[in-house]
Amino acid sequence: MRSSLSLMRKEFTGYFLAPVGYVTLVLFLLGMGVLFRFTMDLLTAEGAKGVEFPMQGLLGNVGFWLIFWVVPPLLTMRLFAEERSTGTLESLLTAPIRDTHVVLAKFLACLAFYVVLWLPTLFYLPVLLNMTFDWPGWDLPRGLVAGGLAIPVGLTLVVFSTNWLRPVGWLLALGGLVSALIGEVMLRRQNSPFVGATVGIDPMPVVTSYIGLFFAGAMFLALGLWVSSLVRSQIIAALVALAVNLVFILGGLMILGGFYAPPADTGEQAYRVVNFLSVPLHFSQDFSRGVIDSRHLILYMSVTAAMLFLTVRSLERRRWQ
Amino acid sequence: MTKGKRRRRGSFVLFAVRALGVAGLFSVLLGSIGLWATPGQSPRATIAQLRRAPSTFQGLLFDTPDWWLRISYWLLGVGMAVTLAAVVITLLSGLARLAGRRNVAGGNATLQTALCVALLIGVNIFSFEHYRRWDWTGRTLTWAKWRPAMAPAARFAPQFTLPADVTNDLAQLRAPTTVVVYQRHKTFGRLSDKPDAYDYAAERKVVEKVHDLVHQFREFGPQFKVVLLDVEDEAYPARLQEVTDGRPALKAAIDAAPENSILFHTVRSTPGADGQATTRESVQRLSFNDFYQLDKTASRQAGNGRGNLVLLPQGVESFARRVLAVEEKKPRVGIAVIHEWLTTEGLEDYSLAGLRKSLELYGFEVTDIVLKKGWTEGEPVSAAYTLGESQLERLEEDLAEYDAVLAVNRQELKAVSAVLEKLKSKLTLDELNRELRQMLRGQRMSDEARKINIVRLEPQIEALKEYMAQQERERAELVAQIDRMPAQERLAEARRMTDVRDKMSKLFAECDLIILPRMTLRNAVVGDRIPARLYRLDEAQTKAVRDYMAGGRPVFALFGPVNEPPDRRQPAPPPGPDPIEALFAQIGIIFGNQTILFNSEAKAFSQRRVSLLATGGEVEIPPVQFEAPRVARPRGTLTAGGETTSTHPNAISESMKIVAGAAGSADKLEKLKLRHPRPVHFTPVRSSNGSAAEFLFTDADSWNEAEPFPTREKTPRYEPAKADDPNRGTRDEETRGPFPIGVAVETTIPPEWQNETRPAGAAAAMLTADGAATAAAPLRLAAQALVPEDRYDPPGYRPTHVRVAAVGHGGLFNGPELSPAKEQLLVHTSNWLLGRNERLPRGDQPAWQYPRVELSPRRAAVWQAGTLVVLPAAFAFLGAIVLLVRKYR
Repeated sequence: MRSSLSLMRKEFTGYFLAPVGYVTLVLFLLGMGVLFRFTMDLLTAEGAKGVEFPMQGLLGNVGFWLIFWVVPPLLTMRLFAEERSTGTLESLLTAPIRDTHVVLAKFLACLAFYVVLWLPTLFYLPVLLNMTFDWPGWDLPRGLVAGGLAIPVGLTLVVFSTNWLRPVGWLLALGGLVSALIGEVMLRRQNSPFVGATVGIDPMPVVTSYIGLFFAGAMFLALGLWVSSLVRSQIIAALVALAVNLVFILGGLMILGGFYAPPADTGEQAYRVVNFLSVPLHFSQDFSRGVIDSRHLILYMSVTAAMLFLTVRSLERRRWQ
Repeated sequence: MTKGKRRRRGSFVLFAVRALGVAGLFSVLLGSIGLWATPGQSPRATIAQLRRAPSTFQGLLFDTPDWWLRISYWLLGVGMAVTLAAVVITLLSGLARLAGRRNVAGGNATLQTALCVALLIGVNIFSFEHYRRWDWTGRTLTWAKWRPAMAPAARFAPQFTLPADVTNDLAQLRAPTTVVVYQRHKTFGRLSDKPDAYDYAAERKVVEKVHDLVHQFREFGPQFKVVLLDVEDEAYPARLQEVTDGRPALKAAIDAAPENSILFHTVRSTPGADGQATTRESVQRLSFNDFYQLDKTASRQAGNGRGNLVLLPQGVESFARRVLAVEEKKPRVGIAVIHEWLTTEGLEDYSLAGLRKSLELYGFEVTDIVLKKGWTEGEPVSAAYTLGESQLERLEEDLAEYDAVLAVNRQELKAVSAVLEKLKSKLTLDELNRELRQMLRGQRMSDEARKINIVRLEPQIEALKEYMAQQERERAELVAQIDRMPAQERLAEARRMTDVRDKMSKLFAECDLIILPRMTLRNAVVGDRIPARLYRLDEAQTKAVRDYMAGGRPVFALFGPVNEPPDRRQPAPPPGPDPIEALFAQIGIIFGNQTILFNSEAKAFSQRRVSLLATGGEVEIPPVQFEAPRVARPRGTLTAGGETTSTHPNAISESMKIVAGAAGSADKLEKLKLRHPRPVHFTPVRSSNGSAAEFLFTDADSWNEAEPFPTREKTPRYEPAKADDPNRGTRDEETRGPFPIGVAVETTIPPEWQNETRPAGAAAAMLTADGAATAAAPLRLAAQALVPEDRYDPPGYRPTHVRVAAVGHGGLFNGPELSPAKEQLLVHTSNWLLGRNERLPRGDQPAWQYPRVELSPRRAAVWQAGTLVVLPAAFAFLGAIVLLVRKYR
């Protein structure tokens, strides 16, 4: 377990220590920034223009799916392919750690970075939800709750440092947690919120969108991980992953982009299958509009599980060969 | 052979097999492309053909004349065979390798992989067919519960959840229903000259909402088939053909739909008397407007004038109700007019063809009832017959004419044939002259004349025979036409009825609503009119109308002005009030005695005095309004006792205001203009439901004129009533507008309609109605004293509620086509009269609009720069620092 955690930490910090992580982050945020600008224009538009579900402005767009198509392979291409090309895979496979743990550690680290990728988009929420804040001013309980900010700082130190800063990080994280809890208890006794906030736009589509993004991202990352375990070159891993991802993206892209018109009877089995597989359609029709469909979640989770299993099998096969 | 050599040979065989397999696949690909590129061919069709008749395979390969196609078949066939062989060999070798001890682990991994893929596919197939959807919109967040102050500013409604009662009803529906979403790209904007951005945006959004709703319907099971038809789609003709194949009623409904519509279609098979199943199609149409209404006024004003798209939801219940009631009987509307030219199949501008078209389009049936006949024989007489009867009568008269002509022709043929026979016989000339002496009239026939007559008569007989055959054919066609007429026996029976009251009552009884149009004045400038006296019904007919209303059934009266030009050559109208108008007076609806003229018409009147070419046709009159203009209190909204006591707005007025809102106006439709209406007042002499009666008003820029026809001596213009004017203080006093010109009331019928021995109450009611022609103020006060105390609730009286609408214009719905504005007025008034309030546009639900975020220009700029530049730049900066630190280390 310990070795799994340290492998996970190594993989996760690897994204921040290599340029590829930052390049991905910056390009992703630039793309999302453009889409946010487009959505904000609709939310503040004059006349008959607008967007009913703001998350649709972000996620129901061909541009977003082009970004989303490229990002997971960028994150996963190096995971095993790099190890194979540099020859470190053999030493990893002979290390006292099970193949399953290796795969899971790499996958979770990658997923964690994917979550980090999305975290800055939370800054968009005040606009996307038309939030207004009522700040009552600083006092002791609020100060204690604000101490909770020490938690992410401490955890960052824990994850990224290897020297004396690590215990300091643990202390900060624990101290922040205690401070936040005490502050929260005090605020609840006063029946007072930390900050008064109201939302003018239904927040649930945002919640469902992030749920969908998490699971869909996990699926694409697992696919990329599996492809990465099969090939030696990072470039080929990325290209093959892009091609495989098309199975889940192309149909939706064609329909969203207006290149393909749905049939007259949208209940046709063939169209239903296309709809079932097309992640962009899942988002434009369901997640970004506050609807959760069991079919989509099961598809994402089952493909994720299957791909992780196949990755383990791929490693196992390599060990036997 | 050494082990290494064997391994190398094995590898080579494996390589060869795999290469063959790949080559086979490539060959299949090329063959498929060849088939696909050939018109009328496809790999799927070829496979289907081979499955039907495998023996044709050889023929395809060797006997196909088209060499391109033959090569394609070869590529496909050989490729499939090679691929199949490669797969089989690979599988067999795989099994052999699995059997080997050394490859057990690898084989195990392969097996696990196969199982994993199978499981993945299985799980998803199961999930594909058995799924659940959760609509999280409108839910309260958990954090809002434990942080009460963080609750949303507004309560958000679920967007994709049908109401429980609708869900229950739809779940029980088993009949296969096809829902056709027909996009004609015409809905919003029909009411104005030119659709604008709001109209187009509304259409897009409502299409999206309709798609969402039908998507929810599909979740109820395979009995709902949803089809989308878009006229702008290139494949539209083919799709239309596919959808309407064998469904003529659906095809007709789609062709007739003038705007974006949702059509619900079912086919029900019932065993017929002869044992053969008969199918009955049922189609219901719903306009997109019945689902969402655009409020253009609110749209423009939203956000402090910045604008937004504001739609008024009409509720999914109306949508679901159409699905559930797709087979319901259509309400029948009877149109009672005095001449066949004025019926729905009448003469151009005089006809009500547009009314029929519109009503049928909105799911009504229309029947014409003609109330007078004998127009060609002087003064018409009272009657009651349908166009069907009239048509049958006409056909039967034609048939009799054919019979008479044929009888004459037969006689003629017989006579001519006899003569020819004699001419051709072996009779001598003397004998012939003797036989034909009557025809020869003293002359003698020679041999030469005999021959000439034979030559002349033979073609004549042939021509006559041909003519008779033609007549016989036409007669047979006529007979067939008569046989084809629906309910012939009933028509014949109806024709046998001679009692007008009974017959009219019988015809009315088959209708759910009666419309009484009386188009009178069309253009006062040129005197284009139909004299009002022609519309006067006799006592029997009046009683038939009264009996119909006494049964609680609705009537829609469209009565034009009764003013006549001062022409002494015209017959004088009969004395006393019109009996039908008197009937309406008994329930408080008083038709004014003047014609309303608009100030804009004054110019046309003065032009007519100097030029006969001035017809007044281009006069621009203001549109009618659905709410009394605020410039002055409209005449007629005061009762004898003081203020009107209506507590609710008029339902039709409210509906039309919503319709007007879609055209960008609060209370009027620019296209709905009525020239020469007459005032219609309502005096609540009976108990009513408390709603306002008036729903149509003229513009304030008008006056009521007793003499609306311009003459050499007088040009109609507004002149205030003088002090000694007997009309002063009454509703007939000449005054400026606005005037009510349309009322719709739900009231109870007078007791004397149930029991004719209460005439005093009726007379008193008429007199108390202060708009009555003879009711001067002193007489009115005297009449009020006559009203018995138990007038409204006498012993034994069973209050029967009735809905009545009256508009002071007879030609409102005349013409071959109705404008969308008139169509809306007609349909909403008819629905209200029939008690189908749920079909009226409603504005009681929270309006839908795009969410908006208010940001000052600076905040917007900060947000834009912050998200587009600062956030990415922050991570770029972080990355640069990290890389620099790493390099430094």
